[in-house]
Amino acid sequence: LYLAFIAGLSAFGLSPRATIELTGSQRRLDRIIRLLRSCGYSFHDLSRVALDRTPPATPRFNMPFELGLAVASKPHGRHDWFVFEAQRHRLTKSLSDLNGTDPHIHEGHPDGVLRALSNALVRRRHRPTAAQLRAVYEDVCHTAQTIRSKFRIDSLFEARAFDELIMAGRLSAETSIPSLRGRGGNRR
Amino acid sequence: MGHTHTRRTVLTGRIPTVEELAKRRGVSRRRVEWLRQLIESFHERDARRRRIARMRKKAPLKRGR
Repeated sequence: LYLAFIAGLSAFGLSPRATIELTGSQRRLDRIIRLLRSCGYSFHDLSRVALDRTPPATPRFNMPFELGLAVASKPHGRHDWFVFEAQRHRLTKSLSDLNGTDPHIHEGHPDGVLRALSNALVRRRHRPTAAQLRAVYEDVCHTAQTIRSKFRIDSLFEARAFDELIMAGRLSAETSIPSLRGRGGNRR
Repeated sequence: MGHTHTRRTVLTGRIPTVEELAKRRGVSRRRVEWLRQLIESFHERDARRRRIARMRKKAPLKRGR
């Protein structure tokens, strides 16, 4: 799903950012808030909020917490936030404060993520098709495999791997989607 | 903006070029070139596979006597 979000957002011409790229001496929370404020849009996938196997079994609350920060950050400027879930009605149960907000349902599947992003976003001129989104996703997956084996990286959830996946997504999008081709300009 | 919608959000703002994105993320030109070639190699591999599949489909079936 992580790779599908990277691929989908890159195909829409966005430059994904994530908390994993945050390093530095500042308090993590301050860095997250600064990152959120620097972005026009934020995408929050709550489908992984579940009990883990390591005792004591605890759900990770980072994602819902970050969503809360995004909702609260609106008064500081224009910020659109999107909620993603694997199952319909799960959000109503887990976060009833968001009743009235329709999450985008991806059914826990990469194709679902790409479809959900297409349902959520649109650009005036540049409109990637389902096949183009799929092609970018496949390239990002292949790149992830290569990065993993070539550089012996255990996790793709690291700053450097993330940067390279973003670049791969963008390069692939430029190759697969004609409206993204070319240099510079005011493509929208 | 929260989303109680079926309408899609229109993304505004300029799409950065590959060079701008690489600079922003601190990815070197060499790395970008390596990634570009890597992605091209995926596409070439896919094209080769599709070509082979097409040829196999077109080839007459070899039957035993």
